[in-house]
Formats: sequence, structure tokens, C-alpha cells
Amino acid sequence: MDNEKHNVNAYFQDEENIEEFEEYSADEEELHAEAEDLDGAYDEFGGDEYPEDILGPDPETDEPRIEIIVDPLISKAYAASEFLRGVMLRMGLSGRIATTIRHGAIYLEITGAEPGLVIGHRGQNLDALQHLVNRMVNKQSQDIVSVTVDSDEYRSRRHNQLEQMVRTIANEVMGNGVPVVTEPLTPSERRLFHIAADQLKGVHTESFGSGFFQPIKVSSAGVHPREAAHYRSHEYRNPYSRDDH
Amino acid sequence: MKDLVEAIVKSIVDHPDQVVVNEVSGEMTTIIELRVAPADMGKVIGRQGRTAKAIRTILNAAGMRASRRMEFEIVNAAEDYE
Repeated sequence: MDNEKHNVNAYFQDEENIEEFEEYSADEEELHAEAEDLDGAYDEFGGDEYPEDILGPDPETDEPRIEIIVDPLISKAYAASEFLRGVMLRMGLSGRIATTIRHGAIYLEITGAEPGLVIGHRGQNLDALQHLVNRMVNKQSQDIVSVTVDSDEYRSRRHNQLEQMVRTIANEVMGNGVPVVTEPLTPSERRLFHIAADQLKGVHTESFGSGFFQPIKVSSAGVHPREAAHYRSHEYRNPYSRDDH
Repeated sequence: MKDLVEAIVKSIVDHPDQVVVNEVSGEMTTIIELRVAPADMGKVIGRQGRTAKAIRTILNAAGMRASRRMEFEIVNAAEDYE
């Protein structure tokens, strides 16, 4: 420190250097003035107002205020459950609707209402409710979100039932080679059926007919039962399977 | 039953203010008549009549609970002027 002070003193002792220093201070004053101008500009811009992304208190009452922004999916899920609630109440049903969002899709699970009435024959009432909720949620929006309505785990029970059906029919078909036709199934049921059948090598499944409900014809893929058993074993990998990669 | 159909239809159409529902109750059967803006006819009927069918299914389920037979009809607004 002492050394530095000494240097500074030496600096001022030189007259030329003093002149230079005075010039420098003049520059600094100009700079300072400029900075003050900027401050003024900032005050004009800022003042009592807040930058765009901060709302600030209510200009009239000076009450603090908070804006809440919610993912559109959450508000859609809420609207869907409110709609389903309104429909169920007007059907004279009491119960509970659990609303969840899984993998970008909305799930409404009804419990505690009369399951027989909510689900209906082969899930037709449940499918009708689901269709109407989907129409309501996707009424005027560009991004279509899928809503699943379930009651007392009907969907997963039906899924297990379809998989069991695939196994039973596949065994029968591969045993005697005679094709079997299923009961008429809805599009989503057919999808689950085909997926389950694809995993059992050795059967060929095909929907036929037209309309909403279509039966599926299950036939042998043209292999000997023993060969089919080999295809079903873990040693075999289907070279044409699309889910290998 | 009338408010059930009204609640469903008003939520799925573009002109909820033009939704008119009439209920005619007989001894055993209730007939629900629905009128909507011509532009909303497609929305109420749906692809291959799926939406109309879904409304009918829900109505039948609600009717079963009240032990009534339900009939659902969508009235074409153009027919009213004939």
C-alpha cells in the first residue's frame, strides 16, 4: 500500500501528468452527466408502473393481486369432470369421480355410483359417457386430448378378459385348425384383441363386417401345432415383427 | 330427463342459446324432442350418428332408473316451416 501511495505522489509531482489528470476528470464528469440522463430515462420508464411481466397491485384499490396460470390440460380435465358430474347428477346418480392425467391423457374414474347402470351392457353406457365427454372437451380446441371414462375398473377387467379370450381361442384354433369367430367387439376392444393375438405367434386375426361393432375371425397362421408351440416359445423371434427394433 | 339432454347438448354445440328441448310424457313413455341451430345438427348427430346414439343410450339408462321408456328425437328446424 505504501508503495502505491508513493507512486501516486510521484505521478502528481510530474506537471504534465497533472494536466493529463485534469483532462481525464473532465471526461469523467461528462460520463457522469450521461449516466444521470440514463437514470432519468429509467425513472420515466419505471416510476410507479411495473415492467410487463409483473402485474403489480390493482391500480384502483392498491390491493395485491396474483395471476394463476394453469396447464390447459388441467383445466380441460377439470371441465371434463364437471361435465360428467352434471350428467351423472341429472341421471340421479351419486358417487365419486377421480380425475387424473396420465401420459397426456385424461382419466375419469367413477366409483361409488351404481356400477351396473354406469357401465351398462358390455360397457355401452360407459362408452356413451366417454364419447360425450370427449365431444365436450374437444369442442373447439386444436389439440385433441383423449379422455377415458372408467367405472369400478371395468376397462382393466375387460382388458384381462380379452387377453384370456385370446389365449383360449388361440389354443383351440391351433389345436384343430378350425377358425373361430368372436362376439362383436368395439374398436378399442378389437385393438386390444389384435395386440394380444400378435404376441401369440401362430394365429392370424382379422376383423370383418362393418359398423361400430365388428367380430374378429381367428384362424391358424398355417403352421403345425407343434411348430406353433415353437413360435410361442421364448426361443423364437419373429423376423417380421415390428416391435423388435 | 329434459335437463339431462339440455345439459349434454348445450356443452357440445356452438350455439347453446338455440338449444330447445321439449318433453312429452305419456303413461309409460317419455318423448324428448331436441331442436338445435342448423349449424349444430352435425355436432348433435356425430359421425355415423355416434353422438345421437350416445345421448339415446344415456337417456335410456336414466329412464331405466325411473322405470320409463325414453324416446329421443332430433327435430330438423327446416321441417318447422313446412
